[in-house]
Amino acid sequence: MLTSILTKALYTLISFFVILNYSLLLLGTMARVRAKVQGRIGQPVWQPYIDIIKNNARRSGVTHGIMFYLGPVFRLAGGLGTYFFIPVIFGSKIFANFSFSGDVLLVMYFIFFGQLGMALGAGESGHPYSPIGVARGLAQMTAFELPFSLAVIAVAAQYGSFSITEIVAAQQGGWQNWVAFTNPFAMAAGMLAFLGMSMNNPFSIVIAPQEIPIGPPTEMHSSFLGMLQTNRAIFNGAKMVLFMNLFFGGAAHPNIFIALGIMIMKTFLIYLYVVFVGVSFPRFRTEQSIRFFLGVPTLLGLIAVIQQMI
Amino acid sequence: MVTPIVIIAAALAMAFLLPVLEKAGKGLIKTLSLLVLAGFFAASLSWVAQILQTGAIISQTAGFKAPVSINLSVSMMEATGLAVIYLVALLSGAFQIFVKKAVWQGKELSLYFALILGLSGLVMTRDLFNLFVFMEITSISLYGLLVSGRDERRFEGGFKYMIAGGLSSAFYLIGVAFLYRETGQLNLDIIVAQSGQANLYLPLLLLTIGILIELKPFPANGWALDVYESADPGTGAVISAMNTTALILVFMKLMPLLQAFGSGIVYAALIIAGLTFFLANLAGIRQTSGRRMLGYSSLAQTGLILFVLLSPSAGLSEERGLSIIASMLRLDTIEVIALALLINHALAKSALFWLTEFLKKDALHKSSEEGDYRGNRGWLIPAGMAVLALTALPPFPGFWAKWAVITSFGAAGNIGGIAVILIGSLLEVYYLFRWFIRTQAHGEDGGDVIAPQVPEDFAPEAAPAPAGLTIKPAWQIFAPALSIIILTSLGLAWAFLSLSGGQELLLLPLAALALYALFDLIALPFAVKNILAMAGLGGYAYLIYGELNNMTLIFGAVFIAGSLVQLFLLFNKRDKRSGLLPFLVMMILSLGNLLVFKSSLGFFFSWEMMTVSSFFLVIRGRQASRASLRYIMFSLAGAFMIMYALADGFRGPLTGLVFAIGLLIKMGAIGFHIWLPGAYAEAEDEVSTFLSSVLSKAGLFILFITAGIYGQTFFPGAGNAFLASIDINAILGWIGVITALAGAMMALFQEDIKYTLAYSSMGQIGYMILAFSIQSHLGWVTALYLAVTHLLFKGLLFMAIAGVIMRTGTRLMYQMGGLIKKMPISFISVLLAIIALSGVPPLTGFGGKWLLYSSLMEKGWYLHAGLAMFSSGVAFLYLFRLIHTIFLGQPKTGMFENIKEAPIWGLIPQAIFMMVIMGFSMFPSLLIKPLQAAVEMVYPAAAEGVAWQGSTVLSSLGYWNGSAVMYVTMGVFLIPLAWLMIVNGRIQKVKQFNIVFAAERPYKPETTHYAYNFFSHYQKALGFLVEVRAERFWTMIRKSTDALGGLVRRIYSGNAQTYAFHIIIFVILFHLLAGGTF
Repeated sequence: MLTSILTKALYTLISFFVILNYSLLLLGTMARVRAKVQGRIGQPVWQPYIDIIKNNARRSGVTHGIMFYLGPVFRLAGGLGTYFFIPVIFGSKIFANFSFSGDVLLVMYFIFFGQLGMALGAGESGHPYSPIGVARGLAQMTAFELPFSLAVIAVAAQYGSFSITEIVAAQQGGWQNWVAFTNPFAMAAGMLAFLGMSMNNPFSIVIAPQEIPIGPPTEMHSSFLGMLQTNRAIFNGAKMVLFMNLFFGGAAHPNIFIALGIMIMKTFLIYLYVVFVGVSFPRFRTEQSIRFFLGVPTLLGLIAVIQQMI
Repeated sequence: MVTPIVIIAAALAMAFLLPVLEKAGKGLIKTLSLLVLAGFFAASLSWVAQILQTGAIISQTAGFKAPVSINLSVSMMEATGLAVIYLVALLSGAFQIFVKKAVWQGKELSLYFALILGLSGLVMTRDLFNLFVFMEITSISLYGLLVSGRDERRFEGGFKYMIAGGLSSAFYLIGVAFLYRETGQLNLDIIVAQSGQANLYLPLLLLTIGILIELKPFPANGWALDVYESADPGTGAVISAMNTTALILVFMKLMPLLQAFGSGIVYAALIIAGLTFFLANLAGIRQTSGRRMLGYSSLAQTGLILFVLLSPSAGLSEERGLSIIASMLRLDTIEVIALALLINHALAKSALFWLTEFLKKDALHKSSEEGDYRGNRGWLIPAGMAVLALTALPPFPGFWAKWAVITSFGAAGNIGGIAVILIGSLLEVYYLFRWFIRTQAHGEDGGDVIAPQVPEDFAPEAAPAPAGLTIKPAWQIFAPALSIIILTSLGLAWAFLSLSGGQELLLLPLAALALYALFDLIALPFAVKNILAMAGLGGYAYLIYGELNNMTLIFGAVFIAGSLVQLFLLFNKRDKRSGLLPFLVMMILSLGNLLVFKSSLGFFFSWEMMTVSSFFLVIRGRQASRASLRYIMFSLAGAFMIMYALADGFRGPLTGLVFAIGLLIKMGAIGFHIWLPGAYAEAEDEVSTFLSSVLSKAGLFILFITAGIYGQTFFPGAGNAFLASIDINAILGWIGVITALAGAMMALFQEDIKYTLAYSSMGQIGYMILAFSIQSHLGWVTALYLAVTHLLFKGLLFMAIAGVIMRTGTRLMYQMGGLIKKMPISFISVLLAIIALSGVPPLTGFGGKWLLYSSLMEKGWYLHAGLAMFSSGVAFLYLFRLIHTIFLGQPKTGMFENIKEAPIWGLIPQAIFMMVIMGFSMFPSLLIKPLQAAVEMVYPAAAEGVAWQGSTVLSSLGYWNGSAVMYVTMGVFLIPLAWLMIVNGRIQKVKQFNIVFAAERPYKPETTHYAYNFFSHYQKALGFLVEVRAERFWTMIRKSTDALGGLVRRIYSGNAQTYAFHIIIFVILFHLLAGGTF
């Protein structure tokens, strides 16, 4: 019993270590990509590390109350939990995480855990910009949630399972078995929803209040901010792994390092797509993005679902 | 024993003697009159006793047998009818003598006795010409009574009455003459016995018309309305109760003759009676004069009794109480039904007429002038009971009679008859309840004026409701009180007879009502009463526990244990709150009774009791008049649909659908939901929690136990597979999911917190309907799971919010803010509740979502699943808004300083619910396994591959381990927390208003709370989805009904000549309907 718990703890640490470092590097890389598009040199790739270390080392600390204090904790717990409920590498014990706790529905709902906690924490600060950001974020979230859930429903219906492991298993044996090709409408709906989920342009109105000097994350300073930055990396990684599993065949190979390489390549491309769209389009207003998600992406999702019904 | 003729003689003697005796002293004649009236009543009762032993009493006048002399006959029907007449006569006489400002003197009393003489004669005599004489005596004395007084309108009313009476007598007399010419007889019994071949059409037509005109049929009843409106309330009661009763008995006397010789006339009378009932109620809804409205109701009730009497199939019912009474009194079932309706109408209507005497004014125009009797029990209790009796709600005789009639019609397949009665009744419910609600509305209540959703400002709750008028001295209320007491006793007796034989338990809510009302009366401290209420619920739970099975046990826990916990909340305040506990306990026991009833009558009885008790809970709210009217209208409309389906015996899918719609109305499904937000929100804050978390599950439970009827397909023979698969469940599924989405959407845009929660309840009920309609093991487990968890989190929310409203004095969220510092426990309670509601793991809510999607996917309802996911996303929006705008952000000026945490008694039940939620979250199997056991009998788990593996529940599609989720969540939460506490050791806490944004400190941080119109962008994008369509639709229905009523009403022009013309039209119409030609 004890050995199995310790082994699980070790595996969890490894998994955590891999995703943290990979995601931080990915953030740094993408920042440079963006800079290149805009004609700048940009930050060093390791800048996210510097930020997190610096913020954690800050000595000043101001809190507005318990919820404020717990907000970043909720947020990071949400990111970590989301990641830990997803099996990262198909067939790998080390990277199976805690996926035995529940299926894709659990992951979909656990995403909200951190968002809710963070929203509450930012709310207690008393700054008007934080609820403005939250209201925008939530409103947009419900909108992209619709095509995303339709996509998930279509995939689950296609394979008769909500289990991520089984969905990935069903996609093995070549790229032609990926959902992206067997169920392209579901993939399209899901990937359009993913644009909203990652809050890049054109769906970045949510973080607009942060750009004026004070809003949710920047009101959080020092170690609070450090925690949020850590989460941003992990949460991003978790979401990309989820989409890779759902639509692009997951990452599977007998050799764990090759499998990790596949995971890195696929998620890198998924993120690149988001950044590509982000640098190409200007920002939507909230109601515009709601209308967008309830338009074409939802229609694609509906087509995917109706395909499964017929 | 007195022979009937003595009554006639005594009344005659009194009529002559009183003016003389008056000279000897006014006290003497009053005492004497009352004694004689009491003697009449006693005599009629003694007749009942005698008839039971010896049969009908026949009294020969002048020592000869009929036809030589006139004979009087009193059988059971007449004796009981006379008992009613004499009872009302006694009460009315006493009322006129003791209560009225202008009391009756010798002259009026003399007329009164002449009237009683006439009525007694009408009922007793068997001679047709003699009947005419008594009719004339009645008319003249009544005319005299009507015009006594100086009001000009009374003369006019009296004059119209004389014209109508004259025409009626004329028709009658000519009819008698023709009849004599054809048969050579005037004695009824002999004419019936001589079953000759004579063509009696014309004489019987004229005879019937003569009697019917006195019974105020449509359209020849305009004169009656003017009489009711102008007469003083006492006389109104006399006409409505005594006259009508006597004339219906006369009509019943003629019925054998009509049935033998004039089937066409019976048919015409049936049509006219149905029309009268329906149209009088339709026109009644436009009334602004209270007494005229009661007049319409009287016309309608008369029509109803005639309709029932003349309907061939009305007496088929084999209802237990009915058969016992019929065999006890040796009457036909149809006679018992008619008698019950007569007594019900006579006593309740006279009580209402007397009660209008105490109102400041008769008109019902402006809400500000109403509310005379808010908080005045002495007036409200009899008035409320009389309204319940007239609208045929339990436990009054009208309820049992109506049940008997409707089930008889159902058995005979007489759908038209059911429709006429139920739709007409619904209209009557509308205007009677509107009147009642207005008489007790709070002074600040906007009435049924459509109020804006967001009030401009919300003043703190005023503690004592203004009592308005009082009746001094209180004994003046004796007449209505007594008649209601007698009526109630009769109804209870019937209830006992009906429900004896295994269902006595169903009477407990009434006992509870009486008992806890008694506690109110003897002014026990509220805490004591509440403890007694808890004890009562506990005792009741113990009583029914043995009768519960797996399924009912779950609902029993929701209804009774859930309520028991929430009763702690009531210790919150110390004021008396009379009437709260009686109705609350009654409601909870009625809900409990839904679990143990054994017959469809038992079910319907409990269902109606639940409706009635919850109505009286809703109406207690300070601005609840509009909400309570809607509540009772929709509830009863639903109940009537249920009644129809029960009577029809679920023949075919359409009846099943009607039944389902009846339940859906009660559950507030989309389209019928407009009663729900108002009822939940405008009820008192402590009551809302019971309504939303407990009462709302009643419909769901009935859905479960009637599940068998929803699988019927509409097009069983259709070749098309899709068409053939459409059943009621398919419809329920779509209604459920759309309700869920609409509820969430509408909750989003409310500024008033209670409206937010109310709409949220609507949405949650939608999920339950959806899950139920899946009709699988997992689907049903989901529905039950949602029902139980909804009790917990919605109870938490409403209780926490009750505390917040109590402390802040406002229901508008944008006026609050920053309360987390002052009310931390309430915050935690709301936080847990919204996590549980939204479905975020690791709390119980996620289990509901997981079960729901798994079962939907198994069923293949992918689109439902997508919509359900979308609505659960929308739920996030309003939940965040709710917790943010109340507890986070910045408080308003002046609001913050003086606020304390909610009282401890409000927190105790919340703590209990929180512990239960945490327990179920840690160990979901504790909840799910009993639910599975409950549905196992209908849908076994194994058939669908639902299984447990340790603490992981497996469906055919996925898996979920609630305990593991909890541990992982705790792990990922505690480790970062520990990290943060290590690196962030020296943290500085700043004060509430210490904020900086946009690079400066705001001058007035109190003004920076972002709360009003929180989701304006959402409204811009999707607001079109929640335009007030349902509201508009029902308003349109109300307005067009109103307009129709106005159209009918327009024929009553108030002109005596027009009225005479109506009578002629009526005669021609009647003749044509009866199959006559010219």
